[in-house]
Amino acid sequence: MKAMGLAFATIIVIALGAAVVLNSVGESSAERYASAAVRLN
Amino acid sequence: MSRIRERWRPARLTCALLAVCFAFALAAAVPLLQRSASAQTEGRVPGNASGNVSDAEIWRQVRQGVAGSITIPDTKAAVLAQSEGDNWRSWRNGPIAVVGAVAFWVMFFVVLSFHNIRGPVRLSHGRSGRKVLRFSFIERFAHWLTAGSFIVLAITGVNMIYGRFLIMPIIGRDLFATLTQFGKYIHNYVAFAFMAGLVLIFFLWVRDNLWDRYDWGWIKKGGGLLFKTEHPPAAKFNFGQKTMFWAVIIGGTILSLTGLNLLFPFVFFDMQQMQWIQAIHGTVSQVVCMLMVAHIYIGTVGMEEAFTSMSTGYVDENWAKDHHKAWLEEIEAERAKDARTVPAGVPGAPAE
Repeated sequence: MKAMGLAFATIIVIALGAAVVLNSVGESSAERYASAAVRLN
Repeated sequence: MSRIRERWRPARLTCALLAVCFAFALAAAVPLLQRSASAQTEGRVPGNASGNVSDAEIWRQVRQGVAGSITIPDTKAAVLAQSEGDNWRSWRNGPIAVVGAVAFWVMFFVVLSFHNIRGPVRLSHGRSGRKVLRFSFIERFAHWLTAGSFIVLAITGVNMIYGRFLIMPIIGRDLFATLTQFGKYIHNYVAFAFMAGLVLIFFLWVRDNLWDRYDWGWIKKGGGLLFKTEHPPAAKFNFGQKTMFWAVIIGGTILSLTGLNLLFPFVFFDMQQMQWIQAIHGTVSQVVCMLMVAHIYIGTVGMEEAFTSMSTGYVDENWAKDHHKAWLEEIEAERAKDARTVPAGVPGAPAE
């Protein structure tokens, strides 16, 4: 059961890490397609 | 008489002037009347607003996907109407959704019928009390990393295609929208855990999931699932498990690649290609979900003492003799050199 618990905890850690990385990369649709004349957020 | 004619001269002049004006007006109106009449006669829409024969031609080109000129960063907006998207939408909301749901419930019905008619697979000679290690810590970790993330992805993914029909009528639009938005973000982020698990299980188990000399015999005897007295020998993984392994690896790879393109859209593909990617992602995910119904069944209630092999890692020797005799013989050959047998009383159970 330890392996299962550790795996589930790892899923949460990876998901949170992915959220932080993806939001800091600056590749969201709003960031890519916004400009001085286009407001998307 | 001449005096009468003099008195009517202004009237005659006025009438003549009016007649000339009427003639000019009539001459100017004839072309307009002729064009409207001919346009209506030929079925063309009057317009000529931008120099074309008719404005209908502009909209016909728009419907065919002609790109205009724009100044915003999103260059895809230059195409006002992408007509192939109508086909994609009808497939996504039609056959993909309907066939996927039918396939899932058919597999559920097959499993239920197996359980009620044939019954779960039980140990033929009971437990021996002697245990043998089947899955190491890293193998179990890799399995649950993949399985746990897959369950989360399946629930959030199924909600994206069926939620509006099944859940929204119950909880209402606002709550459904909030849950689905969070579900979509969870789907995006947990996917990376799934991909990590997929890579781990591939490298851990690929060698044991290649064709071996026991597979044909296992197939001929139906894996021992059809008749309770049949126990075809198998190595670490039987043919059924190998099929499941490769379905997960191949299906999971397709889902990962299409999913990454959906996460970072239009980097490599255009609008229509992205629609194909979404259709593939939805279809393959439903196939894998359907297979997981059978896998989860046989790994829990479908086989006696199946679940604990993946929870504790240990299986009873009698279980190994029934289902993976060739693998047990290899283990016993190594047992003399590497004492991995656990005494009776240690919790554990057979596997798949």
